[in-house]
Amino acid sequence: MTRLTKALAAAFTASCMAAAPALATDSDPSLTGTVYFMLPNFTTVRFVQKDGPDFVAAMKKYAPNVKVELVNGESNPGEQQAQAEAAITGGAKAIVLTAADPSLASSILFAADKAKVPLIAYEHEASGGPLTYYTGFGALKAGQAQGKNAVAALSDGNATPVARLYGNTGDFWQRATKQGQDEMLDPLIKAGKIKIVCEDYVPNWNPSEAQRIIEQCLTKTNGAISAIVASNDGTAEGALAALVSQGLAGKVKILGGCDANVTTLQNILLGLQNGTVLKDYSTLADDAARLVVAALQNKKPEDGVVNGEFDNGFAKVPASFADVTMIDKSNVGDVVKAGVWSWKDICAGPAAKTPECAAHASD
Amino acid sequence: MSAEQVSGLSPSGRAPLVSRAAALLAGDWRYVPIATAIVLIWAFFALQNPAYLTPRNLSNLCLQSVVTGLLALGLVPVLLVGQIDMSVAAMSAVAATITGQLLLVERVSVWLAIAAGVLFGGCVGFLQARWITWTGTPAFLVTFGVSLALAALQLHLLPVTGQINLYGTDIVVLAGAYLPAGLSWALVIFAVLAFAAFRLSAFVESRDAGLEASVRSVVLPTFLVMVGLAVVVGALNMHNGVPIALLLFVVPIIVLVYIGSHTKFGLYLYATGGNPSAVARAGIDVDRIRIAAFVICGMFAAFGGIVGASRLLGVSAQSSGMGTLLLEAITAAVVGGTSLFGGRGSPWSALFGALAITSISNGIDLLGLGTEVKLATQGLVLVLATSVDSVANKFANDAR
Amino acid sequence: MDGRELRRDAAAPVDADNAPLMQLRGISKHFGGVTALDRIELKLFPSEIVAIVGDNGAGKSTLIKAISGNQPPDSGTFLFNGKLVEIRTPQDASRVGIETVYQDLALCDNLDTVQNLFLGNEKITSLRSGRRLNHALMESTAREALRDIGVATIRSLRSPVGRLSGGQRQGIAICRCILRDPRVVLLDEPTAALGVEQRQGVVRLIKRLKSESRSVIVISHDLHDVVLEVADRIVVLRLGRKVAEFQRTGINASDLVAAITGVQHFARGDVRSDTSANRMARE
Repeated sequence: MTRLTKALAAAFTASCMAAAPALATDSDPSLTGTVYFMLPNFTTVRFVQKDGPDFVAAMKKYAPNVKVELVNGESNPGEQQAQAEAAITGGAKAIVLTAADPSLASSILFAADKAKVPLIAYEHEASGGPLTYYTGFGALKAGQAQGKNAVAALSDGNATPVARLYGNTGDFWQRATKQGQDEMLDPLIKAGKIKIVCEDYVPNWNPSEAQRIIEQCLTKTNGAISAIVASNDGTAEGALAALVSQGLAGKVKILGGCDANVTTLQNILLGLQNGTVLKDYSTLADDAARLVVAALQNKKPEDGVVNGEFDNGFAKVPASFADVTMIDKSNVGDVVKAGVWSWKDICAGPAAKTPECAAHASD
Repeated sequence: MSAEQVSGLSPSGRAPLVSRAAALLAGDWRYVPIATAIVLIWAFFALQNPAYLTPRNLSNLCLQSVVTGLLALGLVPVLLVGQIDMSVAAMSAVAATITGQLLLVERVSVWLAIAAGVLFGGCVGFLQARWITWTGTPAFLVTFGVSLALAALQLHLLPVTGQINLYGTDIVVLAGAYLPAGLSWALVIFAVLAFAAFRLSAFVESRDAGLEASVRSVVLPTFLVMVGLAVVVGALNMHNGVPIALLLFVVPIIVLVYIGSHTKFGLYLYATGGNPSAVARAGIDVDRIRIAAFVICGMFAAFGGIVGASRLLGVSAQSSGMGTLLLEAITAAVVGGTSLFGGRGSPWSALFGALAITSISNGIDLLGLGTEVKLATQGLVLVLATSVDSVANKFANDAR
Repeated sequence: MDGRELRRDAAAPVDADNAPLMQLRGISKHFGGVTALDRIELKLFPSEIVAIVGDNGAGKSTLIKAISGNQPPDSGTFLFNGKLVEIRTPQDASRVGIETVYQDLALCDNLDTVQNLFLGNEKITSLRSGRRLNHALMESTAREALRDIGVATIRSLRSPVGRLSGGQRQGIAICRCILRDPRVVLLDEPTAALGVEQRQGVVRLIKRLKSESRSVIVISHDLHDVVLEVADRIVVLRLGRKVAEFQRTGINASDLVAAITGVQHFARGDVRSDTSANRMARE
């Protein structure tokens, strides 16, 4: 599972060399002390429910005697800074930081640097200060995957009316996914195959905002749109809700998507949404744990973990980009294989009656 | 000393123009500013994009204002007694989670699931009000603390997937279904007749009590209600029909308006906001009135959350709890004319206020103006509305 | 529920002229180590107006609060029509026929005149009509009551009382109390915030209460316009004690001031003052 995606990632990013055989960082019981994982908020459920526990498990595997403390910044950069200072004072051996606000993290970065505590930025870009490593999913790649998904569904159209939902104005993930989407969609727009009739940013990626934006798009076009390209699953779900209340569910394609939310996977099985981009969180947590161990050992990470560079505006930082997978009806099983959700999670409600779920009823 | 003060118990002289205008705005004309504002907003956006004033968008407007409106409606009694409840948005999220989980995991019937969610809202409202009245802690702080606790509770209640998908369940009827045209017209006729009967009985009572009363006080309002309802229902029937969600919003408003103006409890809500110690000295249990207001608020917040979940076809930590919903609900109540200072307002303010602020965000989304404009407008409207409220309150206090 | 009927029954027998309607015996109240009221004895006869005067901190307001049930005394008893009564809350006081017009008037500024007049005492329609508030009946009753006491000048009974003049508001507060048909009316500084002309209006109202054979206890600083104008009997409090009691006839303002401040010996024969008061006055 982890190995598979990991291998895929390596093949995709570095080179086409035969993917390195699954590398296991050896367990190192000599490492001790406390490592802090600073989560950004409670509202993005994955951090509390997936990344945190996955990271704890990965650390247990590679450094069984290192204690991991999870702290949550509660969406408040000030709070998070205080927590970081407390962690440094408390003798943190390393900090893994998912910034509550990526653009307000630089004071944490400098504080850690001054105290010589290695700091690994996790998923959220942490800009304007020194970093030891960065690890995250390639938002650009996610955007490209969304774009490809849309192109596949729309390439033989003629001025097909399309609505686009971007993320929260100005955030890193929004900029990068939009850039990736643009790379794929611009040729179609230029060729006149599709026509963007509405486009808007969704404040805080909030599904109800997305719902209203699509309702207003339907008003503007008098119901004449053929597809919606959404930048994540939450906004795609909001778009679907707008379609349902107008009786257009299944008639307007929902493309793009990202996160492999259970609701979205169910919608995919029901034919209400085309696909979604899977980010396998455990890969990321695993990468982060390997980077932490390398930093604690004061060694270079093993080959293949660092596979790129990330420029956070202060310096170019060695980075580990995890790869993304496009999921559609045909490979929902990959999500299960990656250990993100079980078939039982996915096959609830109306989705339980789909053939895919029937085939895995006993799982 | 004003001219009025030296005139003793004799008729007071002509009040200054400003004060008279303020009196009118506090009385029969109190919906004039907000109605004017809505008309101006509509005119502005309709000029920008003609699609704004179409039956389809009117339908959107109704659906989009219902959730904010229900939360604002719950806030009205609490604001009337001079308190505030900062937990409504978090409450709505938790109630929606409870209802969703009961529906999907426990497989209870949809009505039972809704009832459980609403009951939960009432219970939390009761507990926090009991605490506030018992300890004397400002409601602002207690309810804010409770809202954080509720947010935590929601994370705890959500399944590991972090989401509840309500697509295809019975609950989507709340926000996703429409009345058949025939039924909607039957309801219009019923509503007009009921209204006329009510006005008529008020007329007869006044006449029997020897007060001035004219038949015009029956005929004219009835005619206006009839025309108004016919226009709205006619327009909505040109699209999908009257949304059930609109009924779920308007019927409780009418019930609360009745309670507010025709029952002792309603009167005490206003009185408590005006002068709680006077109410206590009149032999009324002020704490019970305050607690009841919070219970109503909790129930409506919960119901609003459930309708919101029905509309969004799901619940997640992100979809409801935090965000701008709380601020929108308070803004709606205040924009509609319910005072933050207590004692002034009406359940109708939830309808007018929610309609006004939704009309703006609806228009901004239609024109695709972006997040900056949306945030700036939301902020401006809040500042403007609360300022008007403060000035009105100042006039009300300075008048004598 | 109509409390008025009940109260009429309770107060039905008309007392003989020499029997007190209400009697306070040994009323004391302490706040920490401070004695606010010290064994106060007070009789109130039917149709009598008693004024209570004294300097700030003399215990006037504490006494009113004790009688009105807002702040029950630590010790002492109340007799009403010769019977022992318990007054622990404003409702207890109301039940025996005592109503209070508070200094702050206890009006809800956001409510209209009619709503204020009937607050806590609303009239309700029949079960058949849904037990609603009977707005029409309350309004017509209010109109009548206000006209009776000469406060018919309020332009609209349906606009908030916060917009009315001080005199009108005082009138409403007194009218609210009359609507409950009390035997005893307590007035706490009824003219404190009023202009000259409005004071005269209030004085007329107090006299009117007496003419309706109600008894009145009035606290006032206003010796000329109120105390000497309307009171039948004047009780002087100083530092929580009753130091003097006068019949109004044959007393003037300087006598009163002397009794209140305690700087001058009483010379007049009609003064009934207790020995402790005289002792205090000498000191």
